[in-house]
Amino acid sequence: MKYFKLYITILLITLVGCSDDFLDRTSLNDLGSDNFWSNEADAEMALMGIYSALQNPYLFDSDPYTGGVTRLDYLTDDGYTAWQWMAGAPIAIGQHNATSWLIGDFWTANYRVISRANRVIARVPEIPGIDEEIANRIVAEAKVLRATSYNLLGMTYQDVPLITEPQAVEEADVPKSDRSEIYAFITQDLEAIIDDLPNPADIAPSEFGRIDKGAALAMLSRIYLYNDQFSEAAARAKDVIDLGYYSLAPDYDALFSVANENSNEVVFRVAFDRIIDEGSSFAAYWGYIDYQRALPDLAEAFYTIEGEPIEESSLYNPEIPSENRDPRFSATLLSNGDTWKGEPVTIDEDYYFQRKYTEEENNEDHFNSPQDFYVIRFADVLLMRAEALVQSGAYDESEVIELINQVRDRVDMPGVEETAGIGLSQEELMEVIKHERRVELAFEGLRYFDLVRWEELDDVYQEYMDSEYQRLLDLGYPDVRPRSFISYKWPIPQGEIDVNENLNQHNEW
Amino acid sequence: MRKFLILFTLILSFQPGMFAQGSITVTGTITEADTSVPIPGVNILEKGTDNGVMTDFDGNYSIEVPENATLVVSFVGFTAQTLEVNGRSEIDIVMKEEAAALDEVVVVGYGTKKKVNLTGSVASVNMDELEAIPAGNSASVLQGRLPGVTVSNFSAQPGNDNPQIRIRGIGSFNAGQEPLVIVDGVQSQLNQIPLTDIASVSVLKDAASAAIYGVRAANGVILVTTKRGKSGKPTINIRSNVAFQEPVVEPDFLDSYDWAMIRNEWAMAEGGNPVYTDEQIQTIRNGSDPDRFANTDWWDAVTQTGILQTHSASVNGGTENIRYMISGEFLDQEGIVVGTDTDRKSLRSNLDVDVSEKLKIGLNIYGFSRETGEPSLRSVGNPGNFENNLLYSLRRFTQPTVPIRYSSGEYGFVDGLYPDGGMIIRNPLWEATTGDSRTEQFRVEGKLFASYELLEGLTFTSSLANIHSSSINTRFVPTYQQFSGEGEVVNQNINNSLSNNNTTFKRFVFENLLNYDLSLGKHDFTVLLGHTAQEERNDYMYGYIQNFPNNELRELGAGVSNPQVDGNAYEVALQSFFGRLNYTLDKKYLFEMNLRYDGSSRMPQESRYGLFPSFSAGWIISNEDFLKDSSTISLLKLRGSWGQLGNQEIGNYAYVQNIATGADYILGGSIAGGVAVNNLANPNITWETTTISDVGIDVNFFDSRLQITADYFQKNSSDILIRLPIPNTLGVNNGPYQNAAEVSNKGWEADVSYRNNVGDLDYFAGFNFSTVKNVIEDIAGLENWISGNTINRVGHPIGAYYGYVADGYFDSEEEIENAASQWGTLRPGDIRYKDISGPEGIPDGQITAEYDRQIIGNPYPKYNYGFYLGGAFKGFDLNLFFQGVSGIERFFWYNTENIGQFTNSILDNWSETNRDAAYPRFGNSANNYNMSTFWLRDASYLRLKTMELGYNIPQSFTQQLAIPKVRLYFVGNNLYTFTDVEEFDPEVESSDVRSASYPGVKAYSFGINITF
Repeated sequence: MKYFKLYITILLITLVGCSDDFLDRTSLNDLGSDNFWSNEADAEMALMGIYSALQNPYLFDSDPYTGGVTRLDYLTDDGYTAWQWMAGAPIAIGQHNATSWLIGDFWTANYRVISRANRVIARVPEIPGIDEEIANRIVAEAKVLRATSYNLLGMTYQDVPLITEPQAVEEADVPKSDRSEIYAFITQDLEAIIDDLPNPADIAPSEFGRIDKGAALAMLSRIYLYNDQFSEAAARAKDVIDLGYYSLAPDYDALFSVANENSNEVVFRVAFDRIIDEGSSFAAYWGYIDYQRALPDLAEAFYTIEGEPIEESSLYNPEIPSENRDPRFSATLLSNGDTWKGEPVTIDEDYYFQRKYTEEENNEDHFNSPQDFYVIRFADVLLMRAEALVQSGAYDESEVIELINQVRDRVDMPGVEETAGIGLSQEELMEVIKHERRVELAFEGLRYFDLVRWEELDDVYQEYMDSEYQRLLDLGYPDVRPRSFISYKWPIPQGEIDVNENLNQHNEW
Repeated sequence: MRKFLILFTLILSFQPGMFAQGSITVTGTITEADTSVPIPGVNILEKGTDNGVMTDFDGNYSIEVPENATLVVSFVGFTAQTLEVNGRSEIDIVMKEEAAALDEVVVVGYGTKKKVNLTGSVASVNMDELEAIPAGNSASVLQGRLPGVTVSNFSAQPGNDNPQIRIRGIGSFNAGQEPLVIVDGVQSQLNQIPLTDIASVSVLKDAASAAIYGVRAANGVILVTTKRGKSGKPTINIRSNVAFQEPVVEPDFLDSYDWAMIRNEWAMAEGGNPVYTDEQIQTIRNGSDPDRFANTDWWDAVTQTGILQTHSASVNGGTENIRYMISGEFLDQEGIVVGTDTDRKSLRSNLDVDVSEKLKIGLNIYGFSRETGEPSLRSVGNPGNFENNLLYSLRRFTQPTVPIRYSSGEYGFVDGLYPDGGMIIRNPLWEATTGDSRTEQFRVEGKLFASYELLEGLTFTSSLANIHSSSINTRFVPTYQQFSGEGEVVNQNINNSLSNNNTTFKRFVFENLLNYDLSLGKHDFTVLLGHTAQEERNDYMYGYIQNFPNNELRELGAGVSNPQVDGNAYEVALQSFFGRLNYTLDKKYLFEMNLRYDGSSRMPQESRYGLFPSFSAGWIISNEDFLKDSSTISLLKLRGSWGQLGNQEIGNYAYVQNIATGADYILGGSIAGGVAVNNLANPNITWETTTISDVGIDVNFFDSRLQITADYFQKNSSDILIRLPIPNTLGVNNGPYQNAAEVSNKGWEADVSYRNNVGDLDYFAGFNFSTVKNVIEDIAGLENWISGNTINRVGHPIGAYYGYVADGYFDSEEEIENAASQWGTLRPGDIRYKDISGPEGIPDGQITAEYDRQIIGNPYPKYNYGFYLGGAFKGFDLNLFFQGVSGIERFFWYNTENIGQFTNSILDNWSETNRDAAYPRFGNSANNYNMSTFWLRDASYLRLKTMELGYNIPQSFTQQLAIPKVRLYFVGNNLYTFTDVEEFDPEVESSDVRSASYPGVKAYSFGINITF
């Protein structure tokens, strides 16, 4: 028993001296911020965190319900979104307000990109011993991604808080900046980092998907174009062309499939793969859904194979709309008389479905598709340069026509000279470009912004309401009301105004 | 203690005897009633004299008394007996243990205490009375038994039926609200302990009793002890129950004709065409084409009579130095919903060894394995997740016109409308029986302990405890095809898949206690000092793969495509020092102080330790001279306590700014690991603190036959964690938790019990009642925050229902024109709402979410009560127990969509000729189905919770079979419910607005209990 007493004595001594290490438990899944930002690998992981934020369902992986960038076409004359419980619907029917779903989530998704980028931009250069060239490249990529989101905010809410540094909760009440300040900041920001990025030709296959010099220049060109800085836009588009790396893929239809994701036409992509949490649902096949469809207005915009509008052509067959059409019609839309998944398609007249990007072969697990989304492809760069030249007023018609014709040639469509002639006015040329953008870039998340910057969104809505197709919107769902138009500016989300005392709603709202 | 008493009585008995004339010597043996074991040390006294003796170690006595003497036989803890000698020279006496006397002992933190000496508020329940209740979950039987303890059985799913337990209201928004459960001194769970293993359940409700558990005690503490061996002949107990279960409430759904008529009416009211043509309606009515237009009762198709069986055996006994209790139980349950079942096999062994006078050791081992089956395509739990819920599917995605099976034998999925309209239903019977989801759980709990008496009254106890629990869920979804009546495939799954979820939990506890008892004249001291170190780790692993060669191979290795894997783990630790001092003066004045110093790994390094004190005092007035001899009042005690408790359930690493992994991307076709800050941390986060003041009174009358206990408490929880909304421009999911809110709970509780007998009839009755007022005192200076149909607002309870105030129906177009604007195109028969306010603070002629909603109901019961009455007469016993809640509301938001099934009550919908209808007109869903008082119901109820009727077969008969005791019994559970809620069970989770919970059950149980 003596030993037992001894045991107790030893025990008591041990307890009193019990080390506090026992209580030191840290997360087993996540990294602690204390020892993060210490090496190049940390920097790369934080950079991937920004890219990952682009895969957001309200940005570049939108399905019919979430209605982000990849579904914004369905808020235009290219398509419609019918049900109230789909995020884009209130905007599609002109009933949106500061508490609408997409209004809130599109904001949040973009600021997530921005906040992750701000952290990388501020912290990576401070990592001890990091190779300066590597740090500069990572920061440059972060800046392009940040600018991508600011551009999306600038094209929707227009005036938003300009946040460029990592923030604590106490610093979060930032007032909004004028749209012009946003664009001044992001354009200057990108101009300064172009040379920190590698040429596309120097990107190793294992790094496909990272922003390179071509992606940065193309995004910069787009931002200038969206901000009506036409000569700058034209110049930056030319820089992309002059890199000499990019070319148009021979098969337009096949371009929008996994096999051609690494085509030299793809300038800026958001990558996906069929791995848990990394697959895309924007390319999912939703069946013949009646709550989100392409509109006949888009279908009718495609010329016949001879380059004529369908109403002027005898080649048009209303029974089989895809017959004798611009090949991009069939690549873009599914219509009556087509074949889909090996079965003939029977759809009532005037009904069309999105075919572009939609996975056909694979019907297993298709909400987890490996399909990448092309944010910018070379055809867009050519058309951006063409438009920027024309809009700037200082252009050579033959250069513009040659740019457009490159896009047409690829699908064996007749050139501009044949369809519209030469010696066109600036306005006529713009019409050609607008049409070309519509048929070339349908369902690539661009139409909404094009209509906003051309200030045509309200017109096309009205045109549509006046047309015989208005009845298509009457789907028998009581929630569907005629489109009305409120403002190009989206309201600032009410939730943001509620918690940020320095943020005021737009006067329009 | 018993030895001390023997000594004491021996001393008393050494007195010169007095011998009267005609005296005889009476001899005999005194035994204990239950075990027939002889009792040594029993005092036998000739009444009215000092003549007395005691039984020897074999229970024998011998006394010389006059022939006509009266003997008084008494022993501490047993009912005293008086008997006439009447010239007998041999009298064997059987003594019964005293049932409810002042010596009743209750389990408290780190020990036991005589109930009479308690200074805190501790509720306990007599588990013997609950053993026979058919329950798959032991915690559920506590419902209504303990004042101040709200037990809600929200789901009766076999294997997934853990009740919600809240003690004295709710004091937290985001941190845990579950009470701490300590089983035989180790943090564990009550749900999976066989009822027959439980010796006692005590609930520590106030800070005085719970402060010894410090930072884990803010939600109250439930102490459970299991049965231990008693020295003596082994007692074998065998018990078997079979219970038949049915839903408490069976909703009546419309038959297909009525349904189709309503469906048409509704579609037309929305401006559409009738869904079914007259011809189809006719077919539905005459049932001539059952493949295309059936009349299916889906509820009937997926519910069945559930069977719950429990069979247990135990052996209890020991020698003077070694005592054991070993038991085993088998529980098997077939649920009332097709495809749900569970079985559990458990073993327990509690061993005590007195190695020497001073050294005692013990070993507790408990283990069970459990297998639970449920549908794999859709869940029967989680009613808030409507889309994925089978019982919600039954309501929302079926229709009576689809047959359960077509005449071809295939399951039905579409009615005759298909393919030109008509929904592909979710056939609930097919969903309940296709594929498989099984969870196997294994849990082993062990505790080894030793105590050593260092000095007289000073004992040191050391223990090691380990819990290891693992759970493996495998869920298989087969390939399948769904057909129309014509045999056309309407839907199919070509990818079978398997997912495995494995969880392993480990807890290790090392504990050392020092107890010291000291009595100095009138002064009694008890001192406890202790140290505990506890650590826990949880590991989770997930694997998934698709495309198995057939539907029979169900192991991950057999799958082919799309493999997925995931996993995570956490570790937490707690180190604590604690102490308790009890001081009793003259058996009248009681004082107690507890201190606990807890260090928790969940807190930031600099402020890891917190001190949780409590102080309490009691005054046993009935021990004062002026009441000592009262024959009416046997106990009168006043108590008061104050103390502080903590709640550390604030997340495992809330103070660390973690950078989350998993923000991955794809580079060059391969995954590239990414990280991001998703949640902002609060480096200064700390536990929530709850301060409780309690005053109580205990009064017993008439030899404690009538017992009354009442308590008033004020419980104030501060530093409550809340997550204030942050601008989304911060780019994170959530802002940091802050200790910034305050909530109070005030209330009182009373417990009254009475027990008496008239001749052979023993009878008893009791009543308990509690009320608590839950008030949010502060939310970081905010006025409120709204979450869906609930609101947290200062001055009101947590999670109060928030909605519009319905004001009847619009009667006419004029009324609509003169009323505030609402939603949609208003017509007579639409619900009218009160225009409560507007931007100017006055009604603005417009019903808006911002200005016209108000607090309309309370999701938690204001009053909880239970009462019982019963009796025993010549071998028969009957016990009725009622349980009720009141002052509680629920949303019953069904028949609000134009598809799915409708219950019968929808026939009472508004029309010109039926203006006083239960439902508004069809159409205008934007207006009529807003969350408003219209859909809110008083969910108060009173239940005949249990009715037990037992019969003890006379021993004269059973002894011939060499079986001392046989009891046959019937127990009815939830036999009758009094409530205003129609068509559904009022006892549902607050979030379950569509009654999608696994239905509550009533049970008819038959059992036999044999004791050798």
